[in-house]
Amino acid sequence: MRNRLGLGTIAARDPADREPPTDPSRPRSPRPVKAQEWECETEDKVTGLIDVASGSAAQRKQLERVVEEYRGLPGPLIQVLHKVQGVYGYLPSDVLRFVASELELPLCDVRGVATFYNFFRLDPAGKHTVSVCLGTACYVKGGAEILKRIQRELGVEEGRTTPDGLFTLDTARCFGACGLAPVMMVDEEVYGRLSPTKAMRILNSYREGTKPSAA
Amino acid sequence: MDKLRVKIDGRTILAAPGKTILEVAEENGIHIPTLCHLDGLRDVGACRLCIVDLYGQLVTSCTTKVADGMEIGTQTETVRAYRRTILELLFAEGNHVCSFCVSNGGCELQDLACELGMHSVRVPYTYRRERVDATHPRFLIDRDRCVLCGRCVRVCQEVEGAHTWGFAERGATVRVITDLAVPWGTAESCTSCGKCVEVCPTGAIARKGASNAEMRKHPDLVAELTERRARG
Repeated sequence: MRNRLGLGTIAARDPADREPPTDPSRPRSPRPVKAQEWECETEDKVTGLIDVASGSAAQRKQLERVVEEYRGLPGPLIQVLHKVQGVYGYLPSDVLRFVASELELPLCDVRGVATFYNFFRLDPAGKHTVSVCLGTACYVKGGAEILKRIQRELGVEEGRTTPDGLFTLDTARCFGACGLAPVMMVDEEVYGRLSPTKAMRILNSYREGTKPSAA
Repeated sequence: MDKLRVKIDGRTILAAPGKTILEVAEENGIHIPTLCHLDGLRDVGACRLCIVDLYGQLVTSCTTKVADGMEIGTQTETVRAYRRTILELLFAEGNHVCSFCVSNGGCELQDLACELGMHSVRVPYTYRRERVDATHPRFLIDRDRCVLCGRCVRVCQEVEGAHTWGFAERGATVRVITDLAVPWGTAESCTSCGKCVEVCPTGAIARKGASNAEMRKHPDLVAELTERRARG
């Protein structure tokens, strides 16, 4: 019982205590399964439908069309995820469940592919995408310090979006603007000859809704 | 079928075609250290510890098939040095503190360190900070102790057929996940069969309630299971 409550960190002294409680009247798995979850799981296999709460009805229609288009083709997962991300802008987890169920793939494999490729994102992109260049020239000129400062001030890791949905932080390998190193790009605008402080000043003016002129 | 003639550590051995170098060596009493290999599971060559010298090249013996005339060295200086380095990298990547581990004294990684004479780690530790997932009612996973051998992934897929365990991310951030990287206790495909616990070579996946050095595992159950299934 102690284990089921998640309090089983202290080792039981009595060896008999150490075994999980077995009660023949319980189902084989002692894991508490919510009735709804269980129904949903059996239903997928019969009707092929999983609840997708993310997005609009139109997006849902497109999602079904994408899956239909690739059903039965060999190795469809990457193409399907690619198109589905085009529909939603990212890959919500209930959509991943839907794709896994429809293509009859294990959930862990779908998640594995979605996290392996840089292209796929698991949370919605922010209003502005900030790309800090870490190419050779920018790196030598202190690109990493700029990234570190931005990470600290925005409180997000590379590839993630700030909680207010304003900035998505990314890194890049070269914008072809090495003469202006170190550089960063906000949306389509390149800012060069940066220092950590200057970079933050630029991001702060985006936060206030103004767009500073480029480098 | 014609037997192949291979030379392992200077000994000439007749081997059946289609076998791997590791199989032939084991059949002839030549020991090669392994970690990700497990009888009954598909070999993937993930850990690289079973490397052998084949004409100056290092190949994983668990995935390389024997061919006629092969000359293989299993204990050359180079091979041993590489194995030790690989092991050091495994230690540096996780937080393998034996004295606090449930598998202390029954750990394949620890055994390998003793066997290969690894007395220190020459690379900086990464001090990875993964959180322990103890959401499953009977088992838990401490990813800091995971060596990414993929045994749990393979046993779940090939023997249990549940496909609960998988790999996510890549490079230095690769880790094993259950379903859509949800807490293990909420993974809907998990049957709680416990095979992943038995095959995990370290203390990464363990039974709840096991204290320091109390965890003993039975990875050989997989070979027995697959053999019995084949017999029908």
